[in-house]
Amino acid sequence: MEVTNELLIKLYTQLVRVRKLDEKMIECLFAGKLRTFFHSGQGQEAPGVALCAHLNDDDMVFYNHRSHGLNKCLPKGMPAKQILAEHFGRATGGGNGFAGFHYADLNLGLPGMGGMVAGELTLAAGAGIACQLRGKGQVVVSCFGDGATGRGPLHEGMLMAAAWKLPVIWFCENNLYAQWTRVNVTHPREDLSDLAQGYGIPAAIVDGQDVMAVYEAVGPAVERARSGKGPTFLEMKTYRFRPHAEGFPDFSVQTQGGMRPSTETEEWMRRDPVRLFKTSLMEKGVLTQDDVVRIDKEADDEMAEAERFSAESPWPDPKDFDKALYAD
Amino acid sequence: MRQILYNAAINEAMHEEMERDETVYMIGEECSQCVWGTSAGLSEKFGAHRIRDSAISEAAIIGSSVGAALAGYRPISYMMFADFMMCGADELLYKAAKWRFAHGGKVKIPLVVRAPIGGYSGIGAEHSQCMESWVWRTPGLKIAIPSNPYDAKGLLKTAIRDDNPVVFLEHKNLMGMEGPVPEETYTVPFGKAEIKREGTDVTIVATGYLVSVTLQVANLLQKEKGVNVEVIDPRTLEPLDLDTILASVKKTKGAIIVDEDTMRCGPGAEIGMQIMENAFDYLDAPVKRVAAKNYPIAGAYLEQFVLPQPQDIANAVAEVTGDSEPLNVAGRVATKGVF
Ligand SMILES: Cc1ncc(C[n+]2csc(CCOP(=O)(O)OP(=O)(O)O)c2C)c(N)n1
Repeated sequence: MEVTNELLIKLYTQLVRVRKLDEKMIECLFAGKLRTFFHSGQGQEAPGVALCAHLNDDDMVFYNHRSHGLNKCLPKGMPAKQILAEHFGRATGGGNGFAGFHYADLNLGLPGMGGMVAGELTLAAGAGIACQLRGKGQVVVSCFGDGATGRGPLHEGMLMAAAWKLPVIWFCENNLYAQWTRVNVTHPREDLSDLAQGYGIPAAIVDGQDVMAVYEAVGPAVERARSGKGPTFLEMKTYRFRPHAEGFPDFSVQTQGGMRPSTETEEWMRRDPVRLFKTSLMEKGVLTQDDVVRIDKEADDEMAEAERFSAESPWPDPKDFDKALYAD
Repeated sequence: MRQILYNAAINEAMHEEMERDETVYMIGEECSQCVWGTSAGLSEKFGAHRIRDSAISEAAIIGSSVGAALAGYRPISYMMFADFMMCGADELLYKAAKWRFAHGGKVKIPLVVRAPIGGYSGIGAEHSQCMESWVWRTPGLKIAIPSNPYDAKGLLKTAIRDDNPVVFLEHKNLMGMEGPVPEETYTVPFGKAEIKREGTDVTIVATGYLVSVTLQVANLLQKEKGVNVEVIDPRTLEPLDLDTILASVKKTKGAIIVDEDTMRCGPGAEIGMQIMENAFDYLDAPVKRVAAKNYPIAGAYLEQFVLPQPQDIANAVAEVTGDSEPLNVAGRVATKGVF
């Protein structure tokens, strides 16, 4: 895909929208407006944004729990207000108020999410079977964190996808931590893409703070999947800027008992994906200061509107339980 | 007696049992920094070999514990949320539960799965469950459900010393509950129910978090309606102290089971049927269940329409005692979540 200025500005705009919605979530959580909890994804905007730029509506993304999926759901086309309204518990939310913090919209290629880390990974293989049978060149992306690689479903899903050349992209956002445990405590090797080797799945390691690096890595993987050549494993090296969950302390276990080192956090925060891309686009003259201000303002307005919409939306009706439980 | 918190009581049991027996170790995600605050000082004292932070690998957490138990250790397999147990379902329901029996009683599997249960936090279908019906239908597993700090400490110590696999369902909402716990060491035996409140008009069998909710409702009923409720906490479902329950039902002539798991096939179904089989002639009214409705636990706002509420308990008492006007407890007895 050609990299036009229009694409660059679109990517930047999506980064800003994702960041602003994440900030809005936290603001609303601490104001007591969310009826559930929140796991911020600040610092990890770039992988989802660049990924979705390659996808069509009928490509499917099994998003992961970090930021409750908003770095994929928002750029894949789910309106901010549906994402926020779900956290407000409203009927207008992307899970009709039933989920609390997940959403689904098959028209946007978002089949949903559960509460079990790695629970969706075998489902992605199955969606890959469906897409392969349908033969329309659809792609399935299975998103997960480094922590999910501890569970069997990844290996079972990858085995199936590799053996049958399913159009699945295994999309790992390795932010070094599963909740409070650093990956080196639980894994023998630092690069999780090594896992793909055993299945003969081609893999790449990508700078997850650099939206263009992700964009360039995703392109060939999507091509490969569309043309029937099978799965690819992409490992984003990235970092979350905030604690595992809002309101919890940020301690992380390195050798056990330690906090996440502030030097490490500071170093990664110097590579804030939104700021990095802004600087690069301004240096290239793709973005002016006015553009930056305007994009910020539009995103602010969008999120304020999402909050107003969420607060004013109706509560869901428990009378709808039966309709939700079984299909007719 | 000194008062300590439920999570501190669990922590003390861990310290004491790990000190007493060096074959006891703990394995699980973030177990050195337990989300619910039960881990203070453990990894400092016992080190990373005995407080093992694992990958997100529930099958391996439980499965390796079965293996270590077969090899002579006493692992405590830690699930951050009880819901995650089912990611190790083969390991728990088949290997831990069945291997002794299936091998003619030749091996023993001393293993504790500590699994925090419970809802009322709005966090949805896969993060809020009480899993006792999943576990209870599987012969071979013992089940402890402590409803206060005293029981939490005493039951956990018994669980760790037991030569069988025990599923220890500690409730998230109780972690901050304060209660009397003696300084000197003690254990709470399995299979002995506690009568939490003596009464003559109706028997309520309640478990876990809902024990304290039931007691609050019972106190209001006493004060405002003169209804005298007997509240029984079985403390362990397997083994179940049916004698205490039956004796109470024979006295009060009425039975209600209050539990947070699903109505369908939940503890209410089992305990209720046991009462029917063993004390039917004594009952003045049908046995009544208060439990979660037969839906997945909805998230956020909708959760309250699935999980049992204090008003449901008051309504059940009115129904069983033949009172046409249930006491209104809405807003007076609150359920509290941790998020
Ligand atoms: C099966 C299962 N085990 C444990 C959890 C609790 N949990 C939720 S998020 C999380 C950490 C996930 O780490 P990772 O996959 O690296 O994703 P990240 O949060 O870093 O984005 C854990 C342990 C869960 N939801 N499901």
